[in-house]
Amino acid sequence: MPLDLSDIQANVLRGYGAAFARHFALALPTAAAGAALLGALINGDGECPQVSDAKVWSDKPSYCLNVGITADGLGALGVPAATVGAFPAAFRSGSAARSSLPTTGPDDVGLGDVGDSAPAAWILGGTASPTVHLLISLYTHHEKALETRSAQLRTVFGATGVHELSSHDAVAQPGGTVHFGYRDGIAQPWIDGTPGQRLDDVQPSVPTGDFLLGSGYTNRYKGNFIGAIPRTLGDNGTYSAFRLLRQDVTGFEEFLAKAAARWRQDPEVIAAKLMGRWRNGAPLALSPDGPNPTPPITEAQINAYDFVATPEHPAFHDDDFGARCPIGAHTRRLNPRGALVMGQPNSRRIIRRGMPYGPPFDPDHPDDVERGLVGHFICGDIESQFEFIMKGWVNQDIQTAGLRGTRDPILGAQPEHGGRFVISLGPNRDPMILDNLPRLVHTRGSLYLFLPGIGALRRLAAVTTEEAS
Amino acid sequence: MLRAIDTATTDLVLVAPAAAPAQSLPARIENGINLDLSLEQKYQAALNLVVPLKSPAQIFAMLAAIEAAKPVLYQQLGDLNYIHFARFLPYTDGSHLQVITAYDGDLESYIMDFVAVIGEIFTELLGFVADAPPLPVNDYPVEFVQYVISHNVSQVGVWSAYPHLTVIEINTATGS
Repeated sequence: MPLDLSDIQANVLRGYGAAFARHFALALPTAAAGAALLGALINGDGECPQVSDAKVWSDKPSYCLNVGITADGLGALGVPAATVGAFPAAFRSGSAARSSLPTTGPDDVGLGDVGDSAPAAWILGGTASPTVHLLISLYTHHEKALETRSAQLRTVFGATGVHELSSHDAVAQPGGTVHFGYRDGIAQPWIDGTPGQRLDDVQPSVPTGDFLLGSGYTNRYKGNFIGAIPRTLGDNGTYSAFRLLRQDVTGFEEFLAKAAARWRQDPEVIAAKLMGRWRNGAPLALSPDGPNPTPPITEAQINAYDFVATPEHPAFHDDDFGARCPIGAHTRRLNPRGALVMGQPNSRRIIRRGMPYGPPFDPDHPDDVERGLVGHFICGDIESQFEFIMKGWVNQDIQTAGLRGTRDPILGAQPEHGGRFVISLGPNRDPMILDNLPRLVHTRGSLYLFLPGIGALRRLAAVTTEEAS
Repeated sequence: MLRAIDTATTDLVLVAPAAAPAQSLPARIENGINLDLSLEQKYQAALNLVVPLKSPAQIFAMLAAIEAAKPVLYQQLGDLNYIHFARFLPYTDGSHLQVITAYDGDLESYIMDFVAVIGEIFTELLGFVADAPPLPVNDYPVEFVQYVISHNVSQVGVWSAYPHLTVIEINTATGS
């Protein structure tokens, strides 16, 4: 089914690639205030930024604007309770509640939001922080544009009576890197129907219905995630887990140094093994010996690999033992590609639209300034994609062989006594075992959002004061 | 709620699941494996479906449908890498079919993969069932998952010769 790009919010099918971002967490005092704000964002009269759609542009727009709504926000907008009830349970419960669900025992950390990452400590979306109704995400190329557009938005907030609870800024780092020093955002799922040319990526494209709601789309279960949501509200919408994640960069560099000294390795080797890619993005599967092989890996080749030989690519190197890319490496855990894993291969994909926040880290002058990653993790079903990845692939150890007693080295909720990471050296050699791995990423905030289609936003904006009451 | 067999009447009745015992001692961890976790919490969990047929006269037709589906069914069950075994066991009077399996991981997380790969087979088989969920399964996945959970009969306990191994670990170790 062809995609109606004018009805899909931007930044879903293809990333905008911004240098600056600012996310506004808003509370709606009345449904009419929310409707007025959405109306201003839909119409965009030059004095108010307009929500961006997915139409192909030849000249990149000067900004991109997304609108996300929480389940509480739908209610605050006057959406009938029965309609909100048609949304999936995970979205309706909200991120804080889902992260607080009872676990099966001491070995089970659920989604990993435990300890100092528990919802009680969140500054956004937590059990002790104000209820968020809307999240507006503004992306620009220039800082001046960010401030100009932000001022315009705040004027509209004031005019409509909407409360700005908080704002969260992000700034891209050179080379698309994030604070641990890795180049980020390399492997993104390609959604069926996306316009434009796809870079070489041997993974199959993803069914449209895995990321967009609508009765015309099909997901990997041969159904669609719209369920009983009215089409006027659900069509071309999607979901996002918006996450505010603090990164312990000092702890990360210290761990690298200690592990490297213990095993007489270059710290960059340890860093690459933890991630599955060298910090410049070169995958271990293609370049096991260093980040700059001869001949060099081109941008077109950087995703053209698997961890095993497959019927489609029988010449691929078979790394089922993890001698090149450890089985527990972050990129291999979260995207096993064709490698052996419980469930369907090449499934459970997620779109990552995160950017760094906080100042760049200087290893020569380590500090305690908070820094991390903030942004959207987009999917068609929060429970079977985002939550499955966090619970099953990040924080458990049975999805494939060779992971027992470990969690994801970058994102995992490591035990208080420290986690473990195993680096295989081959089938007949003892592995390198890195112990005392600290928790490196801590949750500071989280929201489950519905990103409606443009038409749905227009209908939500049409709620009158009478209907809202 | 789970279903269990009432020993007095042999009827299926709803029972509340037993509360997990309080753990006051530190977990016993060996080679990264928590030996205190019961089988049914993490691996080799039991799924004991007991489904009533519309008519006992249809049991043979249902079994024939299962037989016909075997090549695809068995291939897909194997490719999912978390089902240890699956038995299709009719009541002697033909009134019910039991589907007895053991699986690794979390049921709700992985049952949708069944829908993806063999949803059509489930739809056909549920056509014989008296209290089937809305069909086809692919269009009503949430209802299908709820149906499976509600028809899962709890068991007294389980013994396994390899209690802490998953399908993938067994197959990897044996080169299967």
